Amino acid sequence: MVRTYRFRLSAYTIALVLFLMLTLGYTYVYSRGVILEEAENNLTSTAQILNSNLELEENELLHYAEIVRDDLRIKEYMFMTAKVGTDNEALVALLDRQFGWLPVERAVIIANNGKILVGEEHTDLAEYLSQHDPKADVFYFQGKKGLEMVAWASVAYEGIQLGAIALTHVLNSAWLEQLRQTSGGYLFIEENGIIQLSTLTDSIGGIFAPTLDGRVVLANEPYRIRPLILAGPQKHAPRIWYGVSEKELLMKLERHSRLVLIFTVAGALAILWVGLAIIRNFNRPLSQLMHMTRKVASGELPRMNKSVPRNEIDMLSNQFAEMLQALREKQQEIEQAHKELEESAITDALTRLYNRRYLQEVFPRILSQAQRESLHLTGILLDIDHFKQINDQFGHLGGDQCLIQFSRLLRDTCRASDYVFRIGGEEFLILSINDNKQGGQLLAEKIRDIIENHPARLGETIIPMTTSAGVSHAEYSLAAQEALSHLLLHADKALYEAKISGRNKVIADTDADTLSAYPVNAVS
Amino acid sequence: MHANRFFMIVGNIARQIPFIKAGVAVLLAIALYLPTAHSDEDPLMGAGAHFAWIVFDAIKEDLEKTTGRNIILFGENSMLGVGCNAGIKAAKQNAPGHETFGFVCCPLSDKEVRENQLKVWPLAKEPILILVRDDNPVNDLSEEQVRGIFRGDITNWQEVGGADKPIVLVTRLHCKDRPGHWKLILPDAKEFRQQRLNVKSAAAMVQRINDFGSAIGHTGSTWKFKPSDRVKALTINGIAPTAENLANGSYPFYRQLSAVTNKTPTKDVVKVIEEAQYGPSFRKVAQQYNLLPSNPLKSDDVAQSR
Repeated sequence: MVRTYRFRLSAYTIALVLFLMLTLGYTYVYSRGVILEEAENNLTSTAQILNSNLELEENELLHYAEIVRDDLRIKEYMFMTAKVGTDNEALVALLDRQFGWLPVERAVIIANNGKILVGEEHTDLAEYLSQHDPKADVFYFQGKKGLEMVAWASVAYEGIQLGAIALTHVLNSAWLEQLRQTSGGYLFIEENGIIQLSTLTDSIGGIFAPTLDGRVVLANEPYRIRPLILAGPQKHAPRIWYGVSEKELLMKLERHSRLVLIFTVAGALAILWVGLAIIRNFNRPLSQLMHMTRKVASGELPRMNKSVPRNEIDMLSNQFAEMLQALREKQQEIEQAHKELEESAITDALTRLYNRRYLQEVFPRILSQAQRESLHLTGILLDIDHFKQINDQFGHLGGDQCLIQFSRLLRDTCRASDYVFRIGGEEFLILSINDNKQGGQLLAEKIRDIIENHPARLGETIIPMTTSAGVSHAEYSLAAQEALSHLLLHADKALYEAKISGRNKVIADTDADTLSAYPVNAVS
Repeated sequence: MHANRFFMIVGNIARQIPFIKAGVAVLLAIALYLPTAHSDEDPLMGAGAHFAWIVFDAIKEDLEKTTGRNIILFGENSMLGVGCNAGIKAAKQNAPGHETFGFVCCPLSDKEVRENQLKVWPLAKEPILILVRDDNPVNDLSEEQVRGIFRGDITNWQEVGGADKPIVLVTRLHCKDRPGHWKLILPDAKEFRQQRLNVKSAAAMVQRINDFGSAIGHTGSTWKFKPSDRVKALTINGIAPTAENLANGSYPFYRQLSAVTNKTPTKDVVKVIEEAQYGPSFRKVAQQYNLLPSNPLKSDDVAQSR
């Protein structure tokens, strides 16, 4: 059972299913860790990208400030405004005319003494600039327009320090949204633990209390966060944070786990289906082959239908069927040969009549049959008259023709139920079962008459024949062999009587006493 | 079909290559000969100080009629440059088949004329306008007030009767090694106020005056002001910057406009310059820009005899 292919295939299929489930299970568990780790890495790398973008934006703004600063006319006009004391009309007009195209939110120019040369309406920024030394080219400023990126460039003309130019970008909701579109996740601008602006609109005004491991809880939902590095002094400055929702992350994991489960079930079903198909396609013809083999082993040669060969198993089955067919044909040949051998053993080669050996074999059965049916078993012993003279006159060929003609006439005359034997050179015995004792004698007389009237032929030569017959009846009280001997003895006695009384006669053995006058060696 | 035609043409050209080579050689020879030959088809070319492409452009048609030659004036948008140095360069480049002459806006020094083998052809005196923005209430300054402002002695318009506004001085101190022009205001650049705007062109000067309501600057009268320009010229001592006032010597600030050639100008170049010096068409334009011609008007006979 364990070693059968069916068992093995089933075991392999189950093993494959288990392997698949274990693999996918392990993949799920491992990938969960990988996803979380990748989420952390992604968070960090996205924060780095955002930092790079922010740095590019800072550099761009600073570049704009430097372009304005390096313009000779700006310097000249600043000089006139700051040092000569003229009004700022020309400077404002020049800045607007020459650099009005710059994509900046605000432009402020202040003199060294803190006087606002351009941007008097931007008092918050101007006052900050006049009161603080930014100590950096770019810094962030929380003004009345919100958080602003400020690029700052000092201006000198002919060796005289005139003042500085400041250009700003406002970091408003639109800016945050644009930044978010490049990164996904959420962005928060926080100052002193309060969210000032965010792409997560519900969180604005909420408390922002990040933990040491980079998490923050907003509206009862945890977020993984990373700070963006802003240029300039960080003390008391607003901070920008990039974050992703852990809930969304877990939802992704949930989707992933469902996907893994679907793949596991589908994979297991697929393997089972394939396994069953293999078992079905492989095992059924194999079982049939085994069944046939068992029958062959038990001596049978069963018929096996051939099929269209689609695979090796089909080819093997067809070859096995062909082998069975060949064996059957051989068996039939053997049986035929055996039958012929058997017939040659019990018949005479020349006359095709039963021989003496068969008489010994079959007599008990015939005797039993006659006895069982309460009929009379009659033995008719026949001898061709003057057969020696026929041989001498017509040769052995003539003698053989007489024997063949004699036998044919016996067969044609007797009934199907009668047995005809050649028990000697020219001696024949007929065993006939009849209702009465006269039946056998009548048959003998009929034969004698037919023989007499149907001579043998050797070419054109007619060889006349006559026969003498002795008729006797079986004695049922005797055993089979003894009954045969008794039958033959008495038939031979009657034949002897017919011979000595002139031949071409039929004599029935009716007197047991005459047996004593019969010479013993006359029977043989 | 087209391909076969193309290859047939290429084959024909290939067979003609020796003849083509000979043709190219002849053309090259002609091209090399041409610069040395004079042809009335060649244009006369002038370049230099900006007044040339304002004044001469206006009289170009008359000059071309007089000489029968085409005249090309390289001016504001030329890659050859403008200004007196470009005029001197054009004069030096004069050669047969390449007839050029130049213009300068100030008198050249003797040394410069000698070293560059130049011939100077005086054309006219041009008043130097003292410009302020049109919303400046000041319309007149004395000669000394002008000098005081340019020197930096006067730094507020209030000091000369204007509004209480600091004066923004704009200067264009060009041709520093040549006499005349701005040196009639102050003879040395070192004497000018330090706190001033120095510009490189007349256009920049006008722009600065436009920008600053309290600015003051200077430029020649041959400047095409745009309708949008918010500038005005001050009278000096009540004297307007006109040709008449230059002629009678009452307007103090001016410069000398001249044409320059090398020592061997061609007949047509001389004809053009003399037409400007003595012809009637130049007079008409000079009047428009308040220029005082340096030479008297001659009759056609006289002009032709010269």
